[in-house]
Amino acid sequence: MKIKRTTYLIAAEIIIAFAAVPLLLTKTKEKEEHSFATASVFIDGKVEHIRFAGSEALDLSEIEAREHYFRGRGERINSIIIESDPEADQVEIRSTHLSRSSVTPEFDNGTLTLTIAANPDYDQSGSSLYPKVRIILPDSGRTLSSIETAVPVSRQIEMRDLCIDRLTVCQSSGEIELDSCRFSTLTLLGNPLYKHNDISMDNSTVRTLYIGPEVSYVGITEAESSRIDNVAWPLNTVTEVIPCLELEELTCPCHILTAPDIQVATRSISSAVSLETDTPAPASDKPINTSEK
Amino acid sequence: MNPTLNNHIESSRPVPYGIFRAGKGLSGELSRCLLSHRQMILLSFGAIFAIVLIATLYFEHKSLNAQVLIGSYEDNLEDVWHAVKLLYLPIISISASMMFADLSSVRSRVRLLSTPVGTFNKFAARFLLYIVGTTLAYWLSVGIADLIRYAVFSVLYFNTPIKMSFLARLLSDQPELLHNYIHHGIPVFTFIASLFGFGSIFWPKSSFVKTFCALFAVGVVGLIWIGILSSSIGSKSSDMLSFIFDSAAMTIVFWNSLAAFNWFLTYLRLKETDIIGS
Repeated sequence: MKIKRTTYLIAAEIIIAFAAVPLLLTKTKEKEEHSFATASVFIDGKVEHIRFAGSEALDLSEIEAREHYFRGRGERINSIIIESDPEADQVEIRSTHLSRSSVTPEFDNGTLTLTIAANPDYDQSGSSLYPKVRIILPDSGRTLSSIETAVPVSRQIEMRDLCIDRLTVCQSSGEIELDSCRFSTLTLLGNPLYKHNDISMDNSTVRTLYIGPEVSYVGITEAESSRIDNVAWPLNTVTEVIPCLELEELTCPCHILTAPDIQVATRSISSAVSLETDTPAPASDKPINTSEK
Repeated sequence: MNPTLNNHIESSRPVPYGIFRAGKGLSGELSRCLLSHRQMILLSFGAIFAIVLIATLYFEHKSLNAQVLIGSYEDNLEDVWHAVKLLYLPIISISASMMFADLSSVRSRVRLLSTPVGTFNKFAARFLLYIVGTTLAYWLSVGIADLIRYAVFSVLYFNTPIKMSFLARLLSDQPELLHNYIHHGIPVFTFIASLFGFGSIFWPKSSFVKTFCALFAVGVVGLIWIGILSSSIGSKSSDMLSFIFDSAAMTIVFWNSLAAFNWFLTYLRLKETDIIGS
């Protein structure tokens, strides 16, 4: 049977479409890298409310409430409350559950508190129910006062170029990706369901890493150009599990804070880390001891 | 000279070559199509109208019921709009896949190919009838259904002020929905219609089912391909879509170019179609 010219042409169209995919993906990646121009918070998942604490309240719960209804799956975001200072850089919120809603609040001097809480009505054992959070801010000088995830919502947190006073993650089965971020305090409170924490650090600085009593494992990778000044955790009164801390390729000095209420990890810590016990030291103090790899 | 004879000479005189002659050929072919398929066309338009009417009445009934039950009127503007918008897709797809149904049987195939009209006119007549005509009929049905909705519910719920024309309200209350549809919806729907149009000449028999299956298969392979590449490149496939869709101009150009190419292929396919063979 003779194959007609148009058959070849339609086949060529399909092949070209397939061949264009890598180009589009590359362009997308480039675009993603340039998205530093706007600060973005992406929430994928079920979120009961998002609250940006600031000076001026912008309550979106009444605005296009129907938009919050994700039609095909019968899921609803109960409310989104954004309270922010109007004179700041843009923060864009996008969510699969908001369909076309795109909110652009503004805040000033980076003083912004973000609290994300999961909807308790949902089954927390299903990992897919937890939202992913990605926060990208335009320049490294910006500071967020604090970010807290109140219940196990943050399965995956990605941050770039952020300067945050406090980040408190109350879950942790997921991965936390930090890229060129600076934290005064990073707290992993842990969750009875998920005790493992993986932190991928690249060119980031954490002044104090607090590990909560429910956390049994913290793995830090890609930390060659990163720095953790202090690692601390309270006496584990719940499970008596000593946290296992693995610091891979962490070339910077790391100090383990020791205090009456702080227990020191005695295993799985790389030889680069120096330990000193029974010495009270607040998190903001100068490190007690330093050792280089 | 006898005026009848004079008229006969006038009408039999060759029309000068150019746009007028092409127009005459096109209108002739269009009339032929309309006449030969008038029953099917009337049935199709009746079906379109019935579907749109049922959807419009359903949403109004739902909205008014909610008002009776919980006392607050929930505006159904957006629901109706989404329904109307999405209904257009299967209707235009089915209509496009009927464009070259003539080629499925020997007799109609011979009639189509031996009609002394240019290929372009044959193609354009069907495009106007099945794509442009269906689109106009659809939106006309939407308008009439909206009027019927208003009339019916004004009588049934005479105590309640029924809202007038949803299209007018859409323009005044939520024009962004309409803009979004013009920028994103129409170009994509045009592209999909062009695929079914090509499918109708590629597979004249059971065109809709075959085209749908083919598109489904290509779509599945495409998704797997995108998944593999996005994981290797490190970009997110959902972001790739947003990269295309975020820019209105790019969306319009992208989808319409593909649609134009598909329509061109359909025209070429019609040109290379023989009486014998598929």
